[in-house]
Parts: sequence; structure tokens; C-alpha cells
Amino acid sequence: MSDDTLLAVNGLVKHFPLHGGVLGRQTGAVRAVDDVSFVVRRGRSLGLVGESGSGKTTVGRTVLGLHQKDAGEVRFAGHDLHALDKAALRRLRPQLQLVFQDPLGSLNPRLRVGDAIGEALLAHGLCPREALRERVLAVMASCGLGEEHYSRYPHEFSGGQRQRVGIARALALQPALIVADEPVSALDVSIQAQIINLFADLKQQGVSFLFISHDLAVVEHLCEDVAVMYLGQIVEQGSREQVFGQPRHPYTRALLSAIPVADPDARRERVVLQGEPPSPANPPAGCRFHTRCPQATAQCASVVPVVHRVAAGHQVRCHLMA
Amino acid sequence: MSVLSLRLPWRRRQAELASLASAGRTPWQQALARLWRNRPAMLALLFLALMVVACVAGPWLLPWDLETTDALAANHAPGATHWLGTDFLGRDILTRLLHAGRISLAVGLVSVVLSVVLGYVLGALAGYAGGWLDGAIMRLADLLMTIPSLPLLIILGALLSELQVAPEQRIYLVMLMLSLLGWTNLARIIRGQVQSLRSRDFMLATEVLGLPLWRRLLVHLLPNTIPTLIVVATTGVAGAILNESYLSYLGLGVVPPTPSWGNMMDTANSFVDFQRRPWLWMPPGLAIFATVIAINVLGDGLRDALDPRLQARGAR
Repeated sequence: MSDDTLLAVNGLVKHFPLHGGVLGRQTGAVRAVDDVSFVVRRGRSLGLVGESGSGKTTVGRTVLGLHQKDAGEVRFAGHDLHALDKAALRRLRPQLQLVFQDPLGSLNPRLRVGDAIGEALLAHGLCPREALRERVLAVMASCGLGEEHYSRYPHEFSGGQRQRVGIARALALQPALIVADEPVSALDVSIQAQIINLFADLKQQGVSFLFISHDLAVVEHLCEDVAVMYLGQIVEQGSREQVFGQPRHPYTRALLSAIPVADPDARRERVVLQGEPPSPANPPAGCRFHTRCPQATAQCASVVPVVHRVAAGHQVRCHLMA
Repeated sequence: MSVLSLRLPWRRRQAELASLASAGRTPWQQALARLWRNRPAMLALLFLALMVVACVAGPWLLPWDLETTDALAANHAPGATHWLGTDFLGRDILTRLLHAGRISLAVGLVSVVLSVVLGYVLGALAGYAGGWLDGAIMRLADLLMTIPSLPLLIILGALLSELQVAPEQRIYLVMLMLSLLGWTNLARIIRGQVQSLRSRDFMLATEVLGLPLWRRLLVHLLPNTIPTLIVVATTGVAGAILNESYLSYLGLGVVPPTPSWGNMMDTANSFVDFQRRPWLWMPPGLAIFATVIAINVLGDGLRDALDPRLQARGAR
């Protein structure tokens, strides 16, 4: 593990038990995250992509300690996050922040946004009360919010402005890493661009992101590293150039061929996946993708593929790489 | 209530415009402004305020005494001397009605305050703590809810009579009885709210921000349950007044000589009084009717004012 590692996730497993019957016995589990490993390096950002239900959000929330893990390890800035006691975890919190998908739901409707942005600074003793307003206004300004917004309530803002408030709240603590969980998918396209540019500015200032999204174009724009998730597992990860330039996993190829290109004459090979993703409560045996994979063989239906290194930093979980 | 709180389209537009011009106002100020525009609710509030003032001040201003009897003036119909007539002992009905109002309103308010404290604390605890504590509190609530409350109240009332509790102390025990039975509804509602608020994104955010527990509870979680608390408590007062009047009517709640609206209606038991002397039982009956309706209209108005989304769902 090199020095510039900010977040290292190793073999993370998170299952949600399913209860059934009159007695509420456990009848199964949703295997939301199954053996996920990745690294976020200082000053770089990792894009976690995948379709709905692939476990992206669960990865983000387990990394933040909002869910208890079932196995594996989350190391943030050298600390084993799930082994810390409550007080130590609380002290570490400012370093590791979250931006939500739904900006309105993530803000307390009864709190002025200035207070919402400033309260954690006070709670952690990061700013004296006298200087709080100035500090909050400075953070708000860096997120494109003016002084007139300080005393307003969340419902008085537009969607894009609310997301700016959510970002300012995370940013006020000067975090090293921000987990951004689909931060633009609830916004209008024109607003999306503004918020993405705001993220790009923050990256310039040295903030790292774990950027969770299903929008490949956004991830390609913002993230140096990319990990592709399918049904609770990372099927391919590597640098932006590797994953977008030389995709190796059939699922990644299918995803990339679905990105629309703004050229009506472009003729491309389209890989169209059949069917729906299977339920994570009952994932297929062998390779989880074999039920929809255009290149599946008999081996894929029975043997679980291991992770293959196809180049430095480029890993693919597929039998074809053997 | 829906007919009373029906808003014409142009009025709703006006309300929306007004809310646009409301930059920086607290949610409470906005709720008050919405309540102010709700005419039925304001009329109900005015009525209740007048009722309270009349009950508190009336008995001092009227020339008649609560307990003094006058055999010569027994069972007089309403007239210039006795505005609402007199009862079979010649006591002034209006004086007794206003006195009874003090008792009935106080029993309603105090028993609701007690049951709200009980229900809120237990409900919030069950919703937040979960686990065995939640199970224990909710099973207790279920148990109380499955026991038919009127028979239970009648048994308790009969017990009080058997123990020969003095009439003055009896009203406090009646308040206690009503509140011990009345907390379950609020506890369930608050528990559900706390549970749903806990999983909301803004509560997750307080954890990610590393806010201390007291702040997460007192600033973020509990204030968002207060509107529900206000609405449930308001309508609870109406229920408690009704419960008190059932009991007292049956002679098991507040007992004579202490007057209450319920035990004043007791006279309607006699066929002669019921047919020939409506002034004996109509005033307390109307007082209960009007007060309960006014409280419910006010409760509806508060609900609309405090939770505009709920209103929007109902109106469209």
C-alpha cells in the first residue's frame, strides 16, 4: 500500500438479511456487496459505475460506516474505520463526507441553510462561534451561493441550489474525501453541468471523490480511476484510459457501447444486453454476469471467475482473461 | 370538515403567491400565516377563546351563586332574571353551565397534557430505541387499545364511587384515568414518525457530519415531530371532553355537586325534564357539541397549516 492511499477497501461484504414467515426467521440475504476491493488515492477520484441495484450506494454507505460491514476491511487515512470506537469515529468524520442524491431530503426542513452548513463546524470545535458566519459565507461563496441565501430554508431553493447547499455542508469541514452518491442524477441537465463543474473545481483544490454514478460520461469527465460494478461485485477497474479506452470485460463493453454519440453518421458496434439483471438475493452461480453475457461459455455458469490483472492497475473479473 | 376548509382555486393561487414572497420566514411563521388565512379554523379559535373567557370570568360576573338553592325559583324557564332558567333546586343554569365549562375544559386539557407527555415520551423512545423496548411499549399500547375503553372507564368510575372518593378529588382521578387510556394513539403515531425520520437522508447526514447525539435528537429529529404532536393533542382535547361527558352523564366521572357538562345532561334521563324542560339539558349539550366541533375544526386547520403537503394531497 503506497503513501498516497486515502481510502483502501479490501474484500468488503455487505449482506442484508431477509426475514420471512411468522417467526421472522432469516430466509435469505440480499448480497448487496460481495467481495469488493478498491483504492482511492489522494488527489485522484474514483468513479463507481453500474446500473441500479448493483450495490454502488451500499458500497458508499458501508465505507462511511452507515452500514455495518459483514466482512472485509475499510481503511481510511490509515484507520480501520469499522474498528474505531464511537468517539474516535466522530473525530474522523470531518475528513470523510457525503453528498446525497436527493438534495431536499438531505436537508432538515426546519434549519436555515447557514446553520445547516455551520453546525458541524461548531460541533467539532473547528471554528469559534464569532467567526462562524464569515466562514460559512466563504464556503457558500465557493459553492456559488450568496449572502442572501444564508438565512433561507431548504424549501426556498431550487434543486441545483439545494445541491450546492449539500456540497457546501460537506465542504465546510474541509474533508479529504467526499463520497458523492449520484449527486447530479436528480437535477436538470443544465444544472447538472454547473454542479459537475463545481466538483471539478473542488478537485483542483485537492479534494478526492468516490463518485457513485450510473452516468458514464460524467464519470469519464471527473474521475481518473473507474470501477464498474455488476450485482454486488466489481467486474472491471482501472484508470480512466484503460477502462474507457480498452474495456476488457463484456459488461463494460456493453455499457460503453450504450453511450450516445453526438454524431448521426457514426457507425458503431452495439452490444445489446438481453433481459434484466438478476436479483442480488439470488445471484447466478459461477460468473454473475453469465446469464446476460454474449460471450458466456459452459465454464462461466459453474466456476466463479477470479480477478485477473491485464495491465498495471487494470483488473478484470472474467474467465476470458485467463 | 372538507366542506368547511374547501378552498376556491383563486384563493389557492393567492396563497401560493403569498408563500413566494416569504423569503427567510421560519416554518413556524409560515404555518401561522397559513392558519391565519384559514377562516373556519380562525372562527373556531375565536369561539374557543370566547368559551374559555366566559367560563373563567362568567361565574364572577353573574349575580348567582353556584350552590345556593332557591326552592321558590325551581325549574323556571329561561327569562330575564335567569337567562337560561333554573334547575330543580332553583340554581341558575347559566352560572352552573359556565362553572361546568371550567371543569370540563380543565379535565380535557389536563388529561390530554398528561397523556401527550406519556405518549410522546414512550412513542419517541420506542421509535428511536427499537428492539425489546419498542416491543414492550407497543405491546402495552396494543393491550390498552384492545380493551374497550368505555367499559373500563365505567368499572374504574364505579370503583371510585365504591371507595367514596370526595367529589373535589374525584376530578383529578378522572383526569388520570383518561390520560392513562389516552396516550396510546399519540405513542403509535410518534413512534412511526420517529422511525421514518430516522431513515431520512438528513438524519443520515447528521451521522456523517459527526454531530453529537443530543443535537441529532433535539435539533434534527424531535422538532420535526412537533407539528404532529400539536395536531394530535388538539383533537385529543375534544376526545377527552367527550369521554368526560360520557362518564359524568352516567354518574361515574365528575359527580354532583361539582357541575360538569356531562353530569348536567344527566337531567335528560327524566322523561318529564327531557320533554318539558329542555333548558336543563340543551345548554350543556350544545356547549359540548359546539366545543368539540370547534376543536376539531381548529385541529384540521392546524394540520393544514403545519403540513402543507398533506393538504395538497387532499385538495387535488
